[in-house]
Amino acid sequence: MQHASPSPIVWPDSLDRGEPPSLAVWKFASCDGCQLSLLDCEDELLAVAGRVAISYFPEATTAMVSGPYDVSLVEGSITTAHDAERIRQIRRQSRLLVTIGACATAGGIQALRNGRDVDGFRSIVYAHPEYIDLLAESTPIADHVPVDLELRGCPIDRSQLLQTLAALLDRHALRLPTTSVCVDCKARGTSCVMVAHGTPCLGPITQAGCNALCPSFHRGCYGCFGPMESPNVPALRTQLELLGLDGAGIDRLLDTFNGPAFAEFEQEPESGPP
Amino acid sequence: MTLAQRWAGVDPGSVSSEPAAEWWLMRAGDLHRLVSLLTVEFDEVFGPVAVDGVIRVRQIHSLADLPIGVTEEQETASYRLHETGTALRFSYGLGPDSLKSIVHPPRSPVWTMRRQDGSLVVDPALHGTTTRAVIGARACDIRALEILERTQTGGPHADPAFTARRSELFVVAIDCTHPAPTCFCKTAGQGPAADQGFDLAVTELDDPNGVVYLVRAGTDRGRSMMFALHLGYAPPRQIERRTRALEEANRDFIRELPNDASDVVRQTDHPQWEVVAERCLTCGNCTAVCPTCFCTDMEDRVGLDGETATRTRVWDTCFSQEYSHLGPGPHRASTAARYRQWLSHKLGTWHDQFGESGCVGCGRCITWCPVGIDLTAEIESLSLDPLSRPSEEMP
Amino acid sequence: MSTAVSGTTSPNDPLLAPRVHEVTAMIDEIPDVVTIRCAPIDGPPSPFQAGQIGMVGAFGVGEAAISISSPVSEPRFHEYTIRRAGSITTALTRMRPGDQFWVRGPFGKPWNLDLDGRDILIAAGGIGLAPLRSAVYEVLKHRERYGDVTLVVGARSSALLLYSNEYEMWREHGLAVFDTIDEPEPGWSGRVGFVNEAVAALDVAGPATSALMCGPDIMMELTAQRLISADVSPDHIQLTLERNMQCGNGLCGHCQLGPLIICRDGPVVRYPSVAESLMVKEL
Repeated sequence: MQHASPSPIVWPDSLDRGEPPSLAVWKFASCDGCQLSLLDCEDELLAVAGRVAISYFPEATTAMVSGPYDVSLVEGSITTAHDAERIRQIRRQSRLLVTIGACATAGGIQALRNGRDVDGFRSIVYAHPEYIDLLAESTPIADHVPVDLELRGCPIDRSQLLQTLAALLDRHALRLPTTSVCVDCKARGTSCVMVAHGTPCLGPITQAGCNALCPSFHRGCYGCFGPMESPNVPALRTQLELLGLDGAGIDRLLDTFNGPAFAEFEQEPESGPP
Repeated sequence: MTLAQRWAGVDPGSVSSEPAAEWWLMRAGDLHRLVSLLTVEFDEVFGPVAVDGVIRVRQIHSLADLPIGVTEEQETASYRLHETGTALRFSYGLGPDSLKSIVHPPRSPVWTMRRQDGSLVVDPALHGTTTRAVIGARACDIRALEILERTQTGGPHADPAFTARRSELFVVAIDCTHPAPTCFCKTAGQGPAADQGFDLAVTELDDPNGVVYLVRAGTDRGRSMMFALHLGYAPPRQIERRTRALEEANRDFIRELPNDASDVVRQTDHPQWEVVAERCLTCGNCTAVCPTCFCTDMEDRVGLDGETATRTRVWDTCFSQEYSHLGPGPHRASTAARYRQWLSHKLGTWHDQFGESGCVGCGRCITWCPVGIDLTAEIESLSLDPLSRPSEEMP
Repeated sequence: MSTAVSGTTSPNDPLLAPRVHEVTAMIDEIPDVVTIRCAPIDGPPSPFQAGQIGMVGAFGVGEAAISISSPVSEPRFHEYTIRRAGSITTALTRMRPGDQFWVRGPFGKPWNLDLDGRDILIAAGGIGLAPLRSAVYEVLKHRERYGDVTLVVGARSSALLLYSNEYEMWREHGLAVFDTIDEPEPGWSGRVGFVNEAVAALDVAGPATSALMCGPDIMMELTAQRLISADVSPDHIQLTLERNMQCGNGLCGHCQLGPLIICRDGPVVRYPSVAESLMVKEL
């Protein structure tokens, strides 16, 4: 399940004021890209270096401080029984758990295997498939433990991560957009790739937050931020057909990063008298 | 004395309702001199620029920045730019940008607030004295600018940022000889020729001896600029050609806005709202390209040091759920209610709030809706008695 | 066509600029509802009229439109009664004495209290008494100008009756207070029932009565209908509305209700101007 956050996030009272909060960064099935986004924020991280205690972050430091942690950033999806147990342990040790990236919030690219022949994939991909103990599906963290906040995207947006840290450090509310990528495209002055070039684009049904990165490079949106607050997937599907995509092509586009999340909105949009 | 100094005492609001008697004739070289003069006299000059296959409004630095020999095809959810090989510079319909992007930009700083010695200190954004000019404004855009102005300055408290950007804007209008098939300015109340609200207005005409530009002034500062360029007056023959070109353009409209649209959109329980909701993506493209949609949100952000916070006024859209969020959730949760809010405000309750319609017939929302929802078609459907409609169209 | 520039255009419009305030007291009212008592750090509180709103802001979080609920005649401070709901109200209700925040305003149309000689009926549901409190004090201050003055206040339970420790004082100053709760509860011997039912039980002198209301939309709708059937003129029913507001001065579009821009044309409106709109779902 992927949840839009129509309500602003409010940090719990339990976060103490004054002391630097302890931060842990955890990895599950993923490419490390989202953790690297955090490391990418070099200059900004220096500004917060004294204000946050990085207690567990194997990508960045060898120091390992045992929990509990004020904040855990979790990257990756749950793909093994061991993962499922480990995330429960992490949840118990974390006052706030923030999932980062499409793998953690929606199952990620590896969720492409969901509903397909996992044993077949395993025997093709691995030399010794007998060593690989996989669950049938790649699932988001929120399917296993309660999640306080989701930062979406593949990878996550640097600015959203920094806003989250800033909000956390000063216990400010955090408002992340729930509108479409189109809102950002128009605000930054990018011409619509679908209307002006006929390029298939998931922007109208995808949540803003990346500052419309792909369309600014003349590419259609791949939907890596997952569904916006009220995604009309069937209506966009009809338009993508008019642009020449067949059903399989549309499925592939929708499935790539947030397949299960978009699939929830494949039915007709909600109705009822206004 | 610079021209800017000479204009300092001129009231920019004193727009004459009748075109001036003088018609000046310009050729491409004169147009070049006009743009150069604008760039000298104004801090920022905006004009049409072809970017990524679309005519956008961008800051320009010389006539060379403007497209030449291009035209476009527009339809619902489709826009394509083509080369024509002509020497014409304004032979295309509207792109997605209106004057809104200049006077009411997507992001506008409001203040910075900081903690200092245990107290909050507010530094309001300075709206500055930047002078701006725009070349290429169409009649519908000028009309839209007035509508937008009424929303932002007509109430008890005028927005200072809008006021600063609007009040000194020097407008060079272009008479619209190439309306797009998505336009319907004729039935929305003006155009295709600019008849007011400009400093200078230009008609571009193809001519066996090269492209000519007929110019008239709408204000004293526009007239001053014409005198400064030492231009000759246009011969009557060219003025007749202009009249014919505009008559031709005025015949080109396929779409129309009916007179009773204001009543039609007030039918809050019409089943058509549900029908259009099946197609509407609630993406907000229509409100972004609409030259009069003015809704904004306030974005408050804290710096990483925790000591400063900035407030920015940002475009918002009534198609978002957050827009109407109150207490437990969005007031307008359904897509039908959000589309109804947009259209019934634009064409209906805008009259109650501001004494006029919010639509100028530019058709941008028709072209730039990714699924091609056409408000004129929606009005037509809403005009039908719901009980007499064919059953297969019922939701 | 002439251009419309009738408003104040000064970038220093004092109502658009935030005034930094300091919390002087935080008063717990009912669960999740707190009253902030505060004063500007740069001078006396801005004058206001009963029913007007302030855009109340928390550092780095944002603003919410809140009615000023203290007496108009109180020169030392303003009070804002706030229910903890979203991020902004949570940040505001977490403040402590000495903390600073900001206010813009006051904005909007106030209660019309030029009702000399008339009976006044004030009806409030839940936290809806907050926007009416300054009107209560204003009416009591000029009590001799009015006929009978009555307050009907309802809540889901007795613990949720707002400002209940002030009712006795209000009674002493000539306000007939009828409090009612939705469901019977142990130890409660007072009225049980909704506000509109309590209003129905009163002997309202229809044509001589003016009503002021605030509460959930449904409460106001039912109460208005009850009053109209008791011959109260619809024009003499005023109510105050709550909508999402981002600017407070008619520029941002958020608070529209049909033809009205609530921050500009309200928050206090006459019933006939919204009767139709309130009946339309999601308008």
